[in-house]
Amino acid sequence: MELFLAGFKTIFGNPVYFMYMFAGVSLGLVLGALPGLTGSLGIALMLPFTYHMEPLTALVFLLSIYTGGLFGGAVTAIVINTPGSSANIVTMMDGYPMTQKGQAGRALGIALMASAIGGLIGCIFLAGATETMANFSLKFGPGEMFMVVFFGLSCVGSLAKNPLKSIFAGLFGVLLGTIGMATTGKIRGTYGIVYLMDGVPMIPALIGFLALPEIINLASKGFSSESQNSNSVGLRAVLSGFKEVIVRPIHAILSSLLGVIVGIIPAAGASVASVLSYNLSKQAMKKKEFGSGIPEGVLAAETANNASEGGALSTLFVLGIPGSNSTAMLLGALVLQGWSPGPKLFIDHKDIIYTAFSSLFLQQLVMLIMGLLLCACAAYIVKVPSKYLVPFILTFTLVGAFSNRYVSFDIGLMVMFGILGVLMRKADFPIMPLILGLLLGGNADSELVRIYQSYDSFFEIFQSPITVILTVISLFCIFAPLISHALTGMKESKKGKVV
Amino acid sequence: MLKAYLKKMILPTVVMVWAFTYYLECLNYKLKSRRMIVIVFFMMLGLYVINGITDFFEVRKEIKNKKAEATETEEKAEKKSLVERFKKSSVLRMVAIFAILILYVLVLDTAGFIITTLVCSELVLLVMGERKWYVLVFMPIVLVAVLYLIFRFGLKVPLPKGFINF
Repeated sequence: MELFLAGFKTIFGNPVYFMYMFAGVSLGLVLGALPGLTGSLGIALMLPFTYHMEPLTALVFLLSIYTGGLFGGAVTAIVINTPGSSANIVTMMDGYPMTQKGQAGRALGIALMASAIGGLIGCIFLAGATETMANFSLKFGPGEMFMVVFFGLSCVGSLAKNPLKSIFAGLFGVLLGTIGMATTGKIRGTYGIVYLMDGVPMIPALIGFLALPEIINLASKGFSSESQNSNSVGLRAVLSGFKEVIVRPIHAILSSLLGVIVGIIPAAGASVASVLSYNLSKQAMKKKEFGSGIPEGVLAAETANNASEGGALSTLFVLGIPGSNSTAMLLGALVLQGWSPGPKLFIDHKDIIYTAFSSLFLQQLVMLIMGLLLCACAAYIVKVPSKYLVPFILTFTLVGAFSNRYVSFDIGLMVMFGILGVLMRKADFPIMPLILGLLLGGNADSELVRIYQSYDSFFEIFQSPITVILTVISLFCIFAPLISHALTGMKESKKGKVV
Repeated sequence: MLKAYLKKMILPTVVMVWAFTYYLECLNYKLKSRRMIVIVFFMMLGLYVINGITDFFEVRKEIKNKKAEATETEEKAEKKSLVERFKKSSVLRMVAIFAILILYVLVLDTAGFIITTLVCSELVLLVMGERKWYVLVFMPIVLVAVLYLIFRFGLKVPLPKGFINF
């Protein structure tokens, strides 16, 4: 906690951090509010810039984009009934009906205040619990670490629509992650290309797999918003939304806590948190008509998805497992800074990470200020035509991929990964497991080498109870959805026969 | 049916072909350097086969459902053709954008950042359906100028100069 408080001193001591916070939150808010674009795209676009920054500045900037993006997505959900990202799907359920009633400003105010409260509670959890979790993870040897990677992949796989495809994608990512020089000194899978000797470069891979399909999707739609809704949003209405949240403190705190818990689970992230929170609130408040445009619906969704940020970041910093596109890109940025993913990440860079937590706390307040401004011009921002956005963002990503190592090969690699990403989306292969595999594949390989160096046989790693627990949970994560998938299929085919 | 099935299997097959070449390369290395790759390759192979079987049944089911739908009213068929046409145009747009991106990669080193970015952003604007002359003229110029200033002078990135040497 001392380091957390000392972090505020560092942030207040240098106005540059505030400048990056305002810039990052604004970028996240605007990108999140543009239909078809998300805050994670903002992180992807800004990754090349962070390469030239100090690690703390980079973290503060990228976390700010992340924070802004989460609320930005709620703006489109409320104003034009299009969620900015999957995390805002349930915000739409009560947010848009409020807009239809002429209460867009109030709904945006609720979403903004709820996001800030959720973010603050997530941040307090992050500051209070990460060190304890990290100290525990220090007991992890090569066996445990190998299983952590396995656990991460299985968790991400289990939450996808088709677990088979998801695990396949994850393993493909692991293979990609092993390209380049291994810990044994052997150069593998480069096909003689010198640019691949250090492995698959992170920036082209992250932009190609995550951002490019998003841009292509926006381009192929040809429009950003069809809605003609021009609900006026006044400052007074937004402030009245703030009041709605303040008079419901217990609901806000409970939804936030739920968000934090869900956020800790790798891959569950903001979308699962908001859906779960909305459904539980609906069950707990049976007298309220959820879906008809009530403040409780927006509050439940927005507190939980922002609070999940704290949980997801603790998993990222303690275990080195990113649970979402945004956290994967954050980890990518850290890898670029020379930080290696895993439990040592937190222990080695404790002071920087705690200062980043302090900045995260302040970012929620920055988001309140910038969010107010955004609400005032929300109706205009959501209508920016995609034909102007696409050329700009596309060119930005191309130059961004180049600027990491100054080689055109990286742009080619990015385009190739982009094509692969689009094809994967079309063929229902989720991209997130692939990214996780790519980020952790190299680590898993080195841990496996270490296991064989430290033990006589692989199965000796199961002498540790942590390894056994992680293995059991991982196997459950893999097989439970596979069995439920098969059972649903059988039920459906039976129903078909009856009909 | 075969066509729809093959369409679904293209991506995993391409991935498996690449994985197989990687596996073959690693067979020449010592066990400690290839262990991970061998394990992952065989796991992928198993999943590829299972996925191939489940996809086959899924495609068969989809086609059955489609046939049932085809017997419904003509009005719906008309609507469907409109949707199909929209889908086709969006696919064409996607292919065109990827073609422009590939062109960008191929020409960048020879023509340099300024010319390549000017031409490619112009092409993207045209593909996106922009027809106003002033947008087509000024937007690429502003875009190149902004990016050049940010990356060349702000981040000190040595952008490719090409034959114009600038």
